[in-house]
Amino acid sequence: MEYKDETTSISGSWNLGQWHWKHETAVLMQHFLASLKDKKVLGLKCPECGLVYCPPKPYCSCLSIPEEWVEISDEGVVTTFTFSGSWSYGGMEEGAGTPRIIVGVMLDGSNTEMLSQLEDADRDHVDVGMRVKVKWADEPQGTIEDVMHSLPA
Amino acid sequence: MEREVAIIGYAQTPYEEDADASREILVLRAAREALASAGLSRDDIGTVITANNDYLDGRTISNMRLVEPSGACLKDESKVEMDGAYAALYALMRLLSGFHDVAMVIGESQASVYPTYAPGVMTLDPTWDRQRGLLNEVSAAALQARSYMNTYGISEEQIAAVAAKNLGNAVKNPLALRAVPGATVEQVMGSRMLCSPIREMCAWPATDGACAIVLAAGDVARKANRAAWIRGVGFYHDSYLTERPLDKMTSLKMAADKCYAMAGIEHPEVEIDLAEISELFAHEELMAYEALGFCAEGKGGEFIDSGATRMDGILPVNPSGGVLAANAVCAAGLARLAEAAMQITGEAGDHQVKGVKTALAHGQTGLCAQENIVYVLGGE
Repeated sequence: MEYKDETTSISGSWNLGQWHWKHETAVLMQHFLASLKDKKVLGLKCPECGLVYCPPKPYCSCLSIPEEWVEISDEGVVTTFTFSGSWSYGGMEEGAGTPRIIVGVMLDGSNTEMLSQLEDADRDHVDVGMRVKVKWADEPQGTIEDVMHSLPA
Repeated sequence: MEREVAIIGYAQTPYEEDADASREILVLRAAREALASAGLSRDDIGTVITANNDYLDGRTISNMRLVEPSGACLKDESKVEMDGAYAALYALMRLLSGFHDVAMVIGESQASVYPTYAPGVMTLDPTWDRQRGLLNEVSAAALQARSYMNTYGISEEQIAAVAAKNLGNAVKNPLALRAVPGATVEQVMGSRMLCSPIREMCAWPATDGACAIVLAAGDVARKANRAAWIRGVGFYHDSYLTERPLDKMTSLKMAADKCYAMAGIEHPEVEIDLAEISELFAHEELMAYEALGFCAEGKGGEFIDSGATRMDGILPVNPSGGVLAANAVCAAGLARLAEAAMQITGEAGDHQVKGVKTALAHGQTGLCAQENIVYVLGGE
């Protein structure tokens, strides 16, 4: 469209980080994240159907309330994977940085999958069923970042 | 159903990469054309349901701007922020209530105004997956595809065959955005890799467009220019993508079973003459074959290899080119419904399949097809 360039722009920015999500997950997440400092991964177990959610979730699809904390392993099995370009928010433009290996991991003792970025792995050997473990920092900070990366186990 | 409801009119705008019109004008064009095809005027409309989404439009309560161009001004109307196939469900229920005889249903979106695969990011869990930056619509679909391939031994070539079939079919659909004459598996396999195993030709194209259908009940439907009767409908919503198996479409299977029970269909692979499926990514069509009971579980690859779903096969799927040929988000599933109706009424033009008496239409919403809706349409 020829006149597209004439659209008026209003200067400023839209800070997507200014959202402050207020729901039960925040309370549960604090406990979950705090335990990461001790290199412990926690899951929340549903009293009715027994499903263990990791990360924790304040409700279960069976309409019960998971409230029992259980320690799960920092090792698990790859359930699916993709080799992706390096982008984070949105468009498919392959941005700066190296392409990533994204894996779905079912940590031992959990019933939900945690996605993570697999490192130090040969692409030819990445497959469903592969064993991986959380790549811990020497001193985990108790943030989402602590369990962002995994290594072949 | 107590009251019989039929699709008596339909229209789709040409699907474009960058339409030279606003979304309101696209909706206006679709609404006027659908009404004209039904032989009705705005006065005849009882209720209007629109489908679009704020996060696609980049403004809140965006759908209020569609009230006038959809014909809903000062009429009974409502909106859904899901695929248009759900707007049709809402309209169907309102007609079944007996309070209205005619419903206008419209879905639209304009991908030219937003980063193509970004909106899916806005549907991620904001406290976890959105902040981790590993997922968008394509990487999520890639995880789904890999899971399905691994469980059932599906090959990349079998997935590419879906894209080759649909993009080839699209050549005969003048409204399609992406049509590839004589598309081959090799050509699809040679297209750019986005997130393995998803290639560019196996992913939906950014599309501008709108689709409208007119539903009618009772005498209005019986006296209409044409009628594709809704014989059954089923719909289910599954859990979030990290909390369910991605190698099968459980909610689609349940939706199909419910729909078939309502429509009295016992052997879908034999009784259904044609299907229009919302395959946002090529592998989802193979998964849908299985969930819809067209073939056994895990046999989606063999089913495409058999040629059964080609335009000249025993059960043509997506003769329009499907969603791989055009995906105006929020209009895509509604367009499947319109296309299925066109095949029943014999008005599909160059991509008409002969002798279609029973047709299936499928719509989906959410990452990795989290929720699914299935319709069965019939002729006289």
